[in-house]
Amino acid sequence: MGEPVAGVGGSGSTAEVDFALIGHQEGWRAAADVLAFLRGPEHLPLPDDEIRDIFPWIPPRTVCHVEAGSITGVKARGLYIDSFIPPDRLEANYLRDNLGRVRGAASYATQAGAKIVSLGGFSSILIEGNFDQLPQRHGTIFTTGNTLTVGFIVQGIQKMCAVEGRDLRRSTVLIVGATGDLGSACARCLGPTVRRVQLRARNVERLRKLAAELEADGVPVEIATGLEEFSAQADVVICAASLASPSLRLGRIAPMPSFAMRATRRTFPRARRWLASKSSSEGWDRSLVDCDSAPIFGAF
Amino acid sequence: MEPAVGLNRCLPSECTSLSPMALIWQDVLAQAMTGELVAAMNYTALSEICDDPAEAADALEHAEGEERHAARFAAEGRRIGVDVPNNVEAKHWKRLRDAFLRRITERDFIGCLIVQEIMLESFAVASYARVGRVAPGSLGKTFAAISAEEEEHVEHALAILRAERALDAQRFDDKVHRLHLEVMTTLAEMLARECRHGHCEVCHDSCVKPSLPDIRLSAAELRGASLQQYLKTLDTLGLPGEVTLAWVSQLPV
Repeated sequence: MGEPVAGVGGSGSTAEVDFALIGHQEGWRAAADVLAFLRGPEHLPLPDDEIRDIFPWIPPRTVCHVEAGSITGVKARGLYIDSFIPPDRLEANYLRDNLGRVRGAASYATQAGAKIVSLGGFSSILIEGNFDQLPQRHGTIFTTGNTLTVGFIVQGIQKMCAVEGRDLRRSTVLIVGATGDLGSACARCLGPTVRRVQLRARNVERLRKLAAELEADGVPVEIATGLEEFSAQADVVICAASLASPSLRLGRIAPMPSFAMRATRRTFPRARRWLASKSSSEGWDRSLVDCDSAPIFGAF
Repeated sequence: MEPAVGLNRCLPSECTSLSPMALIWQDVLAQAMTGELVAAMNYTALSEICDDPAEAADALEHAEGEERHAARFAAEGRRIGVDVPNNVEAKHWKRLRDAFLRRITERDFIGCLIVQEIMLESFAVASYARVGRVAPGSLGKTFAAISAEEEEHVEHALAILRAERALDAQRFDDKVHRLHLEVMTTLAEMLARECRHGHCEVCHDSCVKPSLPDIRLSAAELRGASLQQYLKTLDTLGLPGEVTLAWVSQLPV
């Protein structure tokens, strides 16, 4: 095995960085690990009750430096910035405070000169549709875990089309959940490269806004708010809606579609079984993306 | 000028017998008043090493301001029927005062500002603000108002310290770290959830910390808010956040 592509660097450097990662700890064990790392090996770990007392008061800030390398030898320097959202405060009751913490972490990243800032899963959810709540950016680009997910979806569809000998430029792409971060990004990314896009979402105003944006770029667009309005022309389907199960009425889409689907960790196994059955019985191409809080991609 | 508040310690036995709540407020006020008197003495000492007459006058003005704060705390005590004791010789406060006086002996103006304005005032600003939120009536208003006044005069010191850091950031940060170990370790012991090293010599009887929930406060909250304020103040000076967080995380609990 070669050199690790990412490693934790020493702290204390104030030089500008290429990227920043913003995240938080999902459990008290992980929170204790962060504080143990900061205290260093010469200090005993803090007792659990002290950690629970101290943690909520820590303002967002850098925890460590990260260096990432590519296989071509290019190196990038980055920061891991923790928003220090306490693990027991991930609920809606703490929305305002948590948004403030993500904003604070984002300010830290921009002040450090990060060119690109990636928001972790939970931070992405908090900021979803509210990017205007982030601080003045000064040339900093913010991405979410969804950016990676969209990359996987688009790449997965391109690969499937290539394998099947399908010409994506002649495809009609149906996007369910089109106005969310994932769906709209897929539409923007794939729209100019396909024959037509069909956008489905519940909010008609947001649908119209997105359609107008795509049409201004010359993309033929069709919109609808109901799931029953699936078009028989769609031969590529992206399901980016936050649905509890893949119980969609898909009988009317074109035969043997390429299908990319969003799932959470919890629904991933069920969604996989469902797509597999469609694959074996109806010959669908399929790709399944786990877009829960951690940016993990699962395809089969 | 006559001091607004005397430095003689009021013995616990002299304090009037009152409701449990009033006795809790008495201890909270006693800590605040002692802190103000230490600050007043620190600023007076600082005025004596200032080369710039304007800075010397400023320090004296701050000293008078801190005495007025102490007097306001004493008045609030009288309003709820308690004498507010003070003890600038109490062990933690004495250690903090001694740390400051070592900077005075070295004629270290910048060191004095770091100790008083960055460390001790962070504690005062944050803890008074928390007390101000829960204290009833004029007591709450007084704590909140004094917190705001303390925060305001920290601004002047921050400008001086930022300019000093711009000259040599590493040297400045090393100095802050040395003072942090000396001063913040004592403050952290004061702010710990329990006084593990015996009586603080300011509370009128047993330690007030276990009783703080009765007035909707807690020692953990006061510590958390104070250290948060300290971290934020260091941020505004430009010290790296990951470094200062490591310092704070290494403090005793």
